[in-house]
Amino acid sequence: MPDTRDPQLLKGVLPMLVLRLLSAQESYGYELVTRLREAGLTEISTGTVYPVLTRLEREGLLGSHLVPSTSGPARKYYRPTPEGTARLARAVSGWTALTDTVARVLAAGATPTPRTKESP
Amino acid sequence: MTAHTRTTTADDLRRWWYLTRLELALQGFPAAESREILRTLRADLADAAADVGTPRALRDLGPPRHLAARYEHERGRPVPRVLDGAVVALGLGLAVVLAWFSYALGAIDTLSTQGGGTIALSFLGLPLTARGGPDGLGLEATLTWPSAMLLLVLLAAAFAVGARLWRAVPGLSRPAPA
Repeated sequence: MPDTRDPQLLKGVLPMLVLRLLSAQESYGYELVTRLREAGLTEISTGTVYPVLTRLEREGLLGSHLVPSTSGPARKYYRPTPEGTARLARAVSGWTALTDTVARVLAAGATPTPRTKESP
Repeated sequence: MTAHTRTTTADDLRRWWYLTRLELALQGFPAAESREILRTLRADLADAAADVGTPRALRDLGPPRHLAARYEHERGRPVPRVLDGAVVALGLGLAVVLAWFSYALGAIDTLSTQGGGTIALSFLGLPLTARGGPDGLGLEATLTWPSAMLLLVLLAAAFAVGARLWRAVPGLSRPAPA
């Protein structure tokens, strides 16, 4: 199946998806990437997700703690802060409103409306 | 993430080399921020390498410069590139020294071909006395305040341009490219 997703569109919604997945279950970076892939974003790369995690943590939307790992250095687990949870709620609300609007416009565009005659 | 790929010493070296290049590419980031990025990435890279192998894990991250650019983009505004500035300033410094020697040797050579003598010259404000002839060759230079200041200003300007220091000024910096 060809990937028709717009990378710019994905970049726009990625922070929301990251907050959503982490609010369901805390994860470290690589685990989060695999969860995103399993959710259907098969083309997403670690190089795209890690900088987003760093930004969300810097902005105080994610908290983190270290957990020792047997495979190497300690893993950094992330979870949303209360501010991050509030931001997620706003983002989901905005996204839902946008997709509703887009769906309405697309549906209206599919059936041409009669043009009103302009007066001179 | 159930599969575990065995990593070799060569894999460890490849990951170390990648992180070293990334560290260089993150120049200009606050030291604590850069250290934290590298520390986190080292752990995630170890997990990814154990899962899919080091070559694929590194391919997935992309070239170090691109990854650094993404971190910079997510940071919101670009940062000065201090190392680039130092390299440009060093290059200019070496060029000035080479030009100075070429100029002085050219003067000595001219004096020698004309039978010898002594001449007082100035190069970038630096007084220079060249002596050439059958008795031997000589070169004297005194570093004066004006010439030292001129050199310092030139090197500082080269550093500022190379490092793109204006990025440190919030009003003058544009958002970092993706």
